[in-house]
Amino acid sequence: MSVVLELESLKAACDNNNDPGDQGNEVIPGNGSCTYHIGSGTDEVSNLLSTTPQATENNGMQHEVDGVDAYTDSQTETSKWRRELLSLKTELNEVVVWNLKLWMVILLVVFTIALVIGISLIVCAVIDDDGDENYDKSSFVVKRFFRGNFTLDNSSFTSDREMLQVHYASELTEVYSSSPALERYFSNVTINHLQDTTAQFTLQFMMPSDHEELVRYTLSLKMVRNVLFQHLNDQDTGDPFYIIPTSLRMEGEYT
Amino acid sequence: MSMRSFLTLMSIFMLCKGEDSECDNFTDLDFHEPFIGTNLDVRLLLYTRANLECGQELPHHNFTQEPLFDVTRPTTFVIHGYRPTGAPPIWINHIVHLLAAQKDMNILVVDWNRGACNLNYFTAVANTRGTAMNITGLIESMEKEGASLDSIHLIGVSLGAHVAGFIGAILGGRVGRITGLDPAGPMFAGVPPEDRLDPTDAQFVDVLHTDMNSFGLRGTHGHIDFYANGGLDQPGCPKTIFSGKSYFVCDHQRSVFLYLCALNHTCNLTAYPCSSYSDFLSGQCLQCETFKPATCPVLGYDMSPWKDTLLRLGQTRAYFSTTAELPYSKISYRVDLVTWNQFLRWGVVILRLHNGKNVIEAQMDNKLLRFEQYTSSRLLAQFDEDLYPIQKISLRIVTGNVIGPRYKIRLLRIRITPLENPNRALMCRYDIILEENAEVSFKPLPCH
Repeated sequence: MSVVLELESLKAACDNNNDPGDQGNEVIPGNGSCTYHIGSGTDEVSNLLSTTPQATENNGMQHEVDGVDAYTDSQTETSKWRRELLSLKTELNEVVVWNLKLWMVILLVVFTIALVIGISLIVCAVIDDDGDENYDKSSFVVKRFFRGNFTLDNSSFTSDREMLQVHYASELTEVYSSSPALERYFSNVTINHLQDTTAQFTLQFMMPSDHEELVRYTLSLKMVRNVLFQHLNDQDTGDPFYIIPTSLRMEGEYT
Repeated sequence: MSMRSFLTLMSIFMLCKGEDSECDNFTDLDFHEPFIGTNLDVRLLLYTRANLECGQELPHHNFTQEPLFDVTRPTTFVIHGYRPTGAPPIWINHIVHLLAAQKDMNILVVDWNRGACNLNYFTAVANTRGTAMNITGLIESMEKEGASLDSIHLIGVSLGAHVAGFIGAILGGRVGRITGLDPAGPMFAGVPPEDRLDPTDAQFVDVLHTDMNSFGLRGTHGHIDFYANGGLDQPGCPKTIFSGKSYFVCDHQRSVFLYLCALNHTCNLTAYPCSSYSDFLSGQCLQCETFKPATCPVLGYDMSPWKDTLLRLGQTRAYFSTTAELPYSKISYRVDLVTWNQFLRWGVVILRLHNGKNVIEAQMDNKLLRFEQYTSSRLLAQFDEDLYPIQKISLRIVTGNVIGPRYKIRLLRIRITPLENPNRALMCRYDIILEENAEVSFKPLPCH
C-alpha cells in the first residue's frame, strides 16, 4: 500500500516539475528528488516513506511561489539541502561488503589510520635505544691506571686516618661512578697513602681490547683529571672533607 | 645708559653675524631644486684642528693663499653621494671632528651637492666624472706645491666612493688610501673596474658594505672588503615600506654610522676573513694567524697593522656582525664541543651566560650543528652585550624532533674562547650529558 502511495505522489511531483509554467532552475531540485525516488524506489528502507510526503509538500510550495523572489529561493535551497542530506544518509547506509555499511567502512579506515599513527608514536617513544647505553662490561678486559694526589684543607684534617681513607675512596668512587662518560669503564679507586694533608690515590679503569680512540679521548688523562677537578671545584667550601682543587695532580700509568 | 647697552647688543650682534659670514657651510639646497635639477658645482670646505667648527671654502687655484691649508700635512677628502633632497648630509660635522681627532690633517669636505642633487639619479651618476676631474686637478696642484700623494686619503660614501675611485684611477693609483663606504650599486653593477671603485685606484683600498641588495654594490672592490652582517640587511633597519624614508636609506646609511663609530673607537668591529657570511656565522673563519702578531682586521681609521698582509693577499673578504644600535659591536665567543655519541646527531645550540645578575643568550640557529664522535664541532656564539666574569653557563641543544625518543647528547668537553678579549681566560667543562631541548647549567672552569 505504501508503495502505491509513494508512486502516486512521485508522479504528481514529476508532473509538477514538468508543468510548462515552471522555471527551469526551480525544476532542477525537483527533478533531483524525482530521479532519486525512481532510483531507490525498489528499496524497502523505512525512511523512504517519511520522505515522500515531504517531497510532495516541497514541490507544492515551489509551485505556489513560482517565479517570486529571493525568499523563496532560500526556501528551496533549504529543502534542497535537506534532500541532499537525506540522500547522503541513504548512501552512507548502503552495504559495501559483507554486512558492512559505507559509514562503518569510513569509520574503520579512519580508526586504522589513527591506530597506525598511535602505535608508531608509542613504538618510537618506547624504543629509546640510542646505542650508547648498550655495552658489555665483561668485554672490558684491559686495565688502565691513573695515579695522583691532592691536598686536604688543613682545618678539615683529623687524625683518624682510617676514616679519612675510607671517606676519600668513597668520594672518588662516587665521582667516577656518576660520570656519564667514565662510569662504564671505572673499576675502583685506592687511597694508597695519606700523610700529613696529602693523599695519594690510584684509579683503575677497564677498557675493551679495541681502545685506541678511547684512550685518546674518553680515557685520556685530561678527561679523567678534569672530571675530578671540576668535582673539587663544585664542592662546598664549608665541607669538613674539603680538598683544595688546585692541589690536584694526576698522571697516567698505562696498563 | 640704555644707549650704551644698545650699542653693546648691536656690536655683539654684528660680531656674531660677522663670524657667521666668515664660515663657509655645506650647500643647503631648497626642496624644489632636485625637481628642476642642479648644475655641477664642486666646492671644497677646509677643516683643520684650528677651525673645526668653521669651514673655509678652499679656492681651487690659489689655495696657497689659504693660511689654514698646509699641503705638507696629510689631507683627507670626504666625498658624499647622491643627494635626492638637496639637504646637507647629517654626518658631515661628525666625521670632520672624528677625523681631526685621529691625526693633525687637512680635512676637505667635497661639496658637490649641486650636481648630486637631482631627482634623476642618472644625472648625478654622470656628474661623478666631472667631480672627479675637478678634485684631481686640485690634487695635482697640491702635488706641485709639495704635497705627497701617499698621505692623501679619499673617503667616499655611496656615489662618492666611485668619485674617489675615478680620482685614484686618473692619478694612476698613487693616492695613499681610498675608503669606500657602501659604494653605490645602481649603474655600477657589472661594469668594468675602470668604471667603478677597484683596488688599483689607490695604494690601499678598504671598502665597507652594508646594503648590497639595494643601493650598495655587490662584490669585492678593495684590498679588504668589510661586510657588516653579510653586507645585506642591517639589524634594526625597517623591513617594510611603512617606515617611510628610513626603509630606503637605513641599510645604506649604516655604513657611515659604523665607520663613524669605528673612528670614535666606541665600537670594536673585528672582521674575520671568510669566503661567505654563513661560513663566518658557523664559526669556520675564526683563525687570525695570517695577521700575526696582529689580530684580525678591525674596521677603522688605522689599518697599518694589517695593510701589508692585506696587500700581499690581494683581495680579502672580511665579515662581522653588529647589533641594531650603538655601540654596534657584538661580543663573540668561539665554542668547541666534542661528543662521544656513537651515532651522528644534529642540533641547534643555545648558549646562555650568567654573571649572577644578568643573562645573555645566543642561539646558533643559522645552521644545524653536526655532532660526530670524537670530532670537535665549532660554532660562533655572538652576544649583544658583554658580561664578565661569567659565573654560570647554560647549554641547550634543540634537534627539532617532534616524535620519537628524546636524544641524549654526550659531551666530553665544551670549550668557550672569548674572541675580543684575548686576556680573558678560556672556559671549559668536561663530561656533560644533556637531553635534547633540556637545559643544563654548569660553572665554567679555566681550561687546563
